Amino acid sequence: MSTLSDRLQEEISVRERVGGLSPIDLLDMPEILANIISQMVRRNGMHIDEVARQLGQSVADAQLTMDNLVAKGYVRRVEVNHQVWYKAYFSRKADKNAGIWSLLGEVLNEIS
Amino acid sequence: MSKIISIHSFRGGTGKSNTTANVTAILASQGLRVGVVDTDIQSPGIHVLFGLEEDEMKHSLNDYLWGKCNVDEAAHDVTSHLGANVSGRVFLIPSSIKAGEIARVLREGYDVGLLNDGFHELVDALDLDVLMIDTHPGLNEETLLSIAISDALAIIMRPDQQDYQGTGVTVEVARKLNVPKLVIVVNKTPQVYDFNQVQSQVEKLYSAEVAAVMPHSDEMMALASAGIFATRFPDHAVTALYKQVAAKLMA
Repeated sequence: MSTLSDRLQEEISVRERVGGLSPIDLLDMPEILANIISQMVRRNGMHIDEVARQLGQSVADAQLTMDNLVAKGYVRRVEVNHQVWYKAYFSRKADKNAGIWSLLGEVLNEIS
Repeated sequence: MSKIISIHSFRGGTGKSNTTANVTAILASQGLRVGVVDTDIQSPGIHVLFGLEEDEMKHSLNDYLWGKCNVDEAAHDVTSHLGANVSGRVFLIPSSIKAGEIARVLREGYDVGLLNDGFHELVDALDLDVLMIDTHPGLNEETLLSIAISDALAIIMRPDQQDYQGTGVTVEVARKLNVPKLVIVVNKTPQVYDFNQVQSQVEKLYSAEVAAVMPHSDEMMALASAGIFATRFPDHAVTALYKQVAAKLMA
């Protein structure tokens, strides 16, 4: 029988890498993932010990989960008082739009 | 420990800003340090209730989001506008009322992550007991962030079929985002309605606590946002209901 850790890793692994979240993404996520991200938003970040406690995982498993979420672009590592914390990573609207405008620029260059 | 409270509604005109202002005034009169952020950047208005004139706004939330200032530099101490008997403090972070700045937001959007950081920085920088977030109606990135970050959420609705349907959407979203405390405030209720029946109906429909059923009030309409009702009419029955809402949000 798959554990919570297994299910969480599976949910993360099938998701595409993003350049940060939008709050709208919280509505699409499976509950297990949305819960921990929402907690991070509410607390403005969490230490790995607290992440492990919230997920009911060992610290080692929680670290693996956070590493995967960082790799996927959902979460970022920040240093707080010389300790590593994890915060939900919201993408900048400027970054989201940059791709559109540079693509338009390329198309216009091709036409001219 | 400080608390973040959002006041939201699916539709406009339900009384969010008035509810935010009145709850804020009541909490401040109880000795609390309260911050109020107007995140309704597209149609700001709560500054009117607090008597903050446009030429008094040194900085706005817009300035912070565009990197022109720290978020606490956009905070205006409006405690004196509430009258003499306020032992707490109220800090308002207004949104700009300048047409060009509103248009810029519509055109360019802004950094939701920065808004998230700003909320938390305000609590720390101003040593707030409570941060109230007055939101734009409906669901968008900013209102979803406000709901997600909140320890308590008040959904304001009128006893109107459009509001009933829309409030259901908002309740569903709030549950998905695991908001720890959710209450509904039924506002502008016609006096001919059975208020107990309205309360029961809403509680049953959404399986959520109704903090208060507020009557439509001619005194409120006549005040017309020229001030905060609870400070003008401290002994009014409507003010007693606002105190009830404040107590339930802080519980």
